[in-house]
Amino acid sequence: MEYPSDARTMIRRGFADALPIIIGYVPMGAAYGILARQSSMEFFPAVFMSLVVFAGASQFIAVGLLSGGATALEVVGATLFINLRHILMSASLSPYFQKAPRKALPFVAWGVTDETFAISIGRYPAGEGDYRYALALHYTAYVSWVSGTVLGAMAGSLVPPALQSSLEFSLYAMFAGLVVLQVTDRFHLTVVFFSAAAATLFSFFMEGTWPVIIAAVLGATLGLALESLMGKPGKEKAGS
Amino acid sequence: MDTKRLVLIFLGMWAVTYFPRFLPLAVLSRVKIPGRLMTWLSYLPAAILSALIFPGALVRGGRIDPWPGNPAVWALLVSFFVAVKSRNLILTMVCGGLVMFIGQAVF
Repeated sequence: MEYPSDARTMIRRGFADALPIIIGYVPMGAAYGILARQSSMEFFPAVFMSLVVFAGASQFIAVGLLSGGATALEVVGATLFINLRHILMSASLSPYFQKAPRKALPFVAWGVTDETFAISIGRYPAGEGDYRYALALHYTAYVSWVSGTVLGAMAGSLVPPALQSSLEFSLYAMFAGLVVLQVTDRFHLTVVFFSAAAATLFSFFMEGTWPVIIAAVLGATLGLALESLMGKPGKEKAGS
Repeated sequence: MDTKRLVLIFLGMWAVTYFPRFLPLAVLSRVKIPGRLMTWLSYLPAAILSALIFPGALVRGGRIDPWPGNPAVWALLVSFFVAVKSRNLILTMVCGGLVMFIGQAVF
């Protein structure tokens, strides 16, 4: 394996990059834990769901469906539906794992969430991340998600609701910060505005995760079309 | 709720969560990706992130609420402003969270 940095640097960077995710995942996991317990789920299954599923949005929805008496098929179907967007994230990570050991991939893949993807995708093109980086980042995020769940499921409520929703919002602020770093040229900027507008528009009349998936596919296609028609854009703003 | 039934449901949820995360990575990391697909993939992160932010952050009471009465609108504006000016992730999160906190008291 040839990597530009040694294992220790990669693993350290993975831990360091997990910090913004921890800030958001602990309160978010706690919110899920509280909701699960309030919907009369026992402590063990509430924590077990975070341990095996590790997918924020679908866990919240599953709690809602289960307490409304949904069938197993309905819950699993909704989960599949919500998590289909990860196909796109997994695909866009793939060019950077060509040299990674085959054995590592199933473990890397397990930790691909919206947040770990958002943080890490800026690292790989510059060679600043590899499978060891990904493992450190993904599993730190996982531990903070499960820890948050345990706290919430035990405590019932932790902080005032306004603080709770502000902490949860900080994950969106993180996405905003990361999307800004993605804008390296005018084509990417166009894609960002287009996808944001498309997703918001589709959300008015489409359910679940479809607005995100369709808007992202159309947005990337727009980027490809622009680049095919007008050639590679010059790097106007240096990303980091 | 019956714990045994829940555990089975969670295992089902695991499967449908795991395979969308695993299969593209497993397959595409082992083949040579054609140039056009590579270009398409290079725009995908920016597209996914912006598609996630807007409908996600602006949901209030189970509905999309993109109007100024929603504190998330202001928090998002401030987040973008701080992100562009500072390019500092933690600072962006702190400022966005702070505006969200104050905004909820105001609206």
